[in-house]
Amino acid sequence: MLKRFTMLMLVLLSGGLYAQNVEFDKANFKEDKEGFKEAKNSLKLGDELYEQGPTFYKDAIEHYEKANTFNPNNAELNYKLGDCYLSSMYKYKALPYLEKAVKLNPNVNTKVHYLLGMAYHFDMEWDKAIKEYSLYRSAVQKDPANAQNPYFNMQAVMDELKLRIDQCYNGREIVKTPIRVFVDNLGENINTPHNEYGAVISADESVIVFTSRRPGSTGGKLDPMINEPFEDIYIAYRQDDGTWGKAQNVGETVNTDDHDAISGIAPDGQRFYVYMGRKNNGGDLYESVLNGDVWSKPESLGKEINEKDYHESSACYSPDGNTLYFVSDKPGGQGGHDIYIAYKDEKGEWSETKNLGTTINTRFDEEAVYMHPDGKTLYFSSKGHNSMGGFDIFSSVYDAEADKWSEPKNIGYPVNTTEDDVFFVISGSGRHGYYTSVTNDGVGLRDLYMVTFLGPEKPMVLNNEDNLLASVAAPVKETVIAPEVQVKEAQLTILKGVVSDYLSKEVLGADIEIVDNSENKVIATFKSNSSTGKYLVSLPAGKNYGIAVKKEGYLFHSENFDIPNTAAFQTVEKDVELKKLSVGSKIVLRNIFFDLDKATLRPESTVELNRLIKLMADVPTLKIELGGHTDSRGSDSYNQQLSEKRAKAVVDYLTNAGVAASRLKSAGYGETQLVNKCSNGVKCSDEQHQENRRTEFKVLEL
Amino acid sequence: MFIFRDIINQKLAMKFLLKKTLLLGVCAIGLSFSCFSQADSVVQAEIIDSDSTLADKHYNSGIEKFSSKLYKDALADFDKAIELKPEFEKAFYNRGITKHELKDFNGAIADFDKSIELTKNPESFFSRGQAKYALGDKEAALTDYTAAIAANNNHAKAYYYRGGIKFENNDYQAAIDDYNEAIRVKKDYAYAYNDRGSAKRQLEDYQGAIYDYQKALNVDENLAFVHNNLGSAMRKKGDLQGAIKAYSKAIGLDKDYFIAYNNRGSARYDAGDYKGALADFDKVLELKNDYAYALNNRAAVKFKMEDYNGCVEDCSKAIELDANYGYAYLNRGNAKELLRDEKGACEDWHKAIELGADGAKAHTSACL
Repeated sequence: MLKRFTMLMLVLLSGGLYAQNVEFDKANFKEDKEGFKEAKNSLKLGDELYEQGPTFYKDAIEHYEKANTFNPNNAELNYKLGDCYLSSMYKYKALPYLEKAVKLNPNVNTKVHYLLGMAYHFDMEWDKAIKEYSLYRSAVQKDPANAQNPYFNMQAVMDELKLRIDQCYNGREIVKTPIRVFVDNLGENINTPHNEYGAVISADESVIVFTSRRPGSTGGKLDPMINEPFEDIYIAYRQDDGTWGKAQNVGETVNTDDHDAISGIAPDGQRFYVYMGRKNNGGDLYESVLNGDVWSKPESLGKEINEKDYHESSACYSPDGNTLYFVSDKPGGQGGHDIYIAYKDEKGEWSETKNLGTTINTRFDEEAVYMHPDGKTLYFSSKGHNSMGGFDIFSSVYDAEADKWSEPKNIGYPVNTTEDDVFFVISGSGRHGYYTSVTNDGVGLRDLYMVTFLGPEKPMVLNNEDNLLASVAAPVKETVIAPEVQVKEAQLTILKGVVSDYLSKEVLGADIEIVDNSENKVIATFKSNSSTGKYLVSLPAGKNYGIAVKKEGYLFHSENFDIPNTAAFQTVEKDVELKKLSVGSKIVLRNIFFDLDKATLRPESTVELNRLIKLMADVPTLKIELGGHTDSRGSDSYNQQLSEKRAKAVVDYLTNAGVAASRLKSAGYGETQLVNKCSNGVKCSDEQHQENRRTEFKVLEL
Repeated sequence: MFIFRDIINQKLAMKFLLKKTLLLGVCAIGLSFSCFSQADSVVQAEIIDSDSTLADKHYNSGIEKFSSKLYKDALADFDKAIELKPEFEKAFYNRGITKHELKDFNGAIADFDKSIELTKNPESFFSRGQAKYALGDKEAALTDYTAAIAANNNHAKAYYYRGGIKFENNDYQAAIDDYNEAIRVKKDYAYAYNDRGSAKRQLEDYQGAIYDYQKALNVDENLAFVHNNLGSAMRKKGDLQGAIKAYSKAIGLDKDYFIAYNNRGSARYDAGDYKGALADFDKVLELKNDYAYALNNRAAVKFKMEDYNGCVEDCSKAIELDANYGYAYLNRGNAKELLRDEKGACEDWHKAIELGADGAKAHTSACL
């Protein structure tokens, strides 16, 4: 009987435990005075940190947890633990404490519904979050103390609550259609048990640069604010087996003993923007260039970009390097941090800075801007638009003809979450994104991840048949039309390779000039790396590009890429071997164009012809032959004549431009010197025939 | 059928024989699993034993033997009848029918030719059309059906079979016109309703198809294949529950009807009932383990149930059965992608493109 009574008591007690708030009062813990003393001390230590504000909340957790183990039924302690966890990286731990706090004492703190709203919001329990935020809103509005408090900004509180409630509604919709992705931790060569974030990649994903707060940072000091190493920039390279090599500190030319964070990298990985912190004018942007294997000391992007006392926090490159997108909180924007655009002037300085406008910028913060190598798709983070919580990542496409940005599109769950989603970059192919996340199964706290976009679900196709005709035994197969898969391909061509000397094979640092042939304009200039000879250019679809690889003492190399708007993404690997300027050496001029079946030079040839004129001026002793070549189609005699006329047209152009006729010789070779198998009668593609139609340049005397 | 009506002086009632003989004319073009249910072919007539002529005796003996499926003996009797009476048109006709049964289609055609030469008998045109169809000469069959109709514009079967050829030539509207005529002549022509429904279905007039299939079932509710076709029209129209019900009826009437199981599985798949779909496809494979479609479809269900290895396995089996099964490659590629076998996925999708699987091209956008 006694046993049964005890059992009953236990059941009653346990049932009542949740409803009973137990104060940290020694009268409640007479049987364990020592334990109570320790717990009370932990509580005190926790409170001291808690009272210093949210930066120290994460440090208070350890002490509060100890006190809570001793007395798990104190409403206020549960409330504080929930509050602390919400300010930490372990937000998912907050909810049980807050729920318990309210159960123990519904009036534990006026802010409890706000915190509960945040915890449910984080857990994507949209309706519960909305309910809690709404409860808090009514409480704030009804509280007479708020009205009397001159420091209380009712409007700001209402705005924030509205934003959060809207985010819950957004989230409820967004998670209904998750995007299909694989998410992979970048592994221990990149991530450590410490914080890694803000990865940027070259367009071909061969180089990754990121920020880390791992031990061993430059200067070796700890950030007194959070007791962690200062930020440094690290770099890693893709290895032949596709994995990342071990990340290395980019070196002391770039990293200082203060915060140094990566912001943007050029598509070729040869230059990057650095964000430098506290000492610098409220936070400024700098650029460092890779010379061989050494990153240069970062140089400020200048006053046009870095406004005094304002926070310029992020910048990225356009594929041609002539446009800069950056983030600043300077006045005159839409509110908070906004995204701005700047253009390089003739002197190479940034000018014409302007706000990207209300389609992109909201009255909330925009951050972490990234322009895709296609030159038109902008990725950025924003707390506005239809964010589902904190910053979400959005994309917007620029329509050059209409001079308009498309309505920003939330890139979707699960890449976007209810937390701050910032620092997102995407590969040239559009297949991979790189971002920062906190997960339970990572290497460390914040880790870098690669997300592989699978696109919309690829529908399975089922097959069926019916006995459609009564008098025919054989069933009739149902006609199946596989549902269309929406394909979103990046619209660009990545051209990459190694520049080297034709004879010695020694790698060369050369200038790479990109010409818009229809505009007859050099639109960008890059350099191949002097240590590796590597180059990479991103060619957004929609143009006919002339590409010249130049180095002093060498004949230039010319390539032509016609990339229509409809062209699919492609990576073209083209190693370039430059020939030294010597008698007998010859090159093909790929950007000299004639009207069909005529010897009339087309205007698109101007830049290449001018390059030739400049070469003749630079090397006054140079005498050359210009040779015309045709493909094998058409009669041999016709082709011979056409090639002669075309070579002469080039010579005429040069003499008209002032090059002495005595230095120039024209020769027509018709179809006598084909570069491939495509002779008379051999079936070949248009591209193969195109290889043979060319103007060649040969050094006769030097 | 009038051949037998003409022999009024025969005493022996041979109803069963007549039914079989006439049915031969209707069903010869294919071993339709449900052909026997076409009751409209039954003709009441009497054959009277007579000793009037030896030819007639042989003729009647031929009919008896035919009824006993002794086709070769029947043929010998009809041969003798014709030998004794070279202008015996009905013996030519019946011999033609017998030769058709013996799959001597050219011999049958020669007999029908003779019968036509003698009387321009519309039945002979019709039966010759059937023999020509059996030889794969659809155009000639169509011409004969047209001739049968010219000789008798109420020849329901000639309309019906001509409609069938037009259907097979994908000329669905013209087929419907013929089925309309067949139904005009014979209001309870269940097959014509079914086939007209099918023609409408091919023209994506699913509502019209459903109407016709239901008309066919009003005539004979035991036609399992019509229930199946009704289900498919409903599925096409998006009425998945209606479709599942109709397929279930078909299965209720024919427990081994694997096509209906396969279709019900697909309807359940479309309705998101993957467990139910899986059970149906399992059943198909129990009934017919080399039915590649069911393997492919079960693979789709396994994909949805995130059993990607199972999906690959079933697709591979389907491909083993049919090396040119493009959609099985397409589906297997989808599963391989999620198993992170990008190379294998791309190889499968490229193979699917090569085999003409519609839509496969779009899958390869991420392939190197």
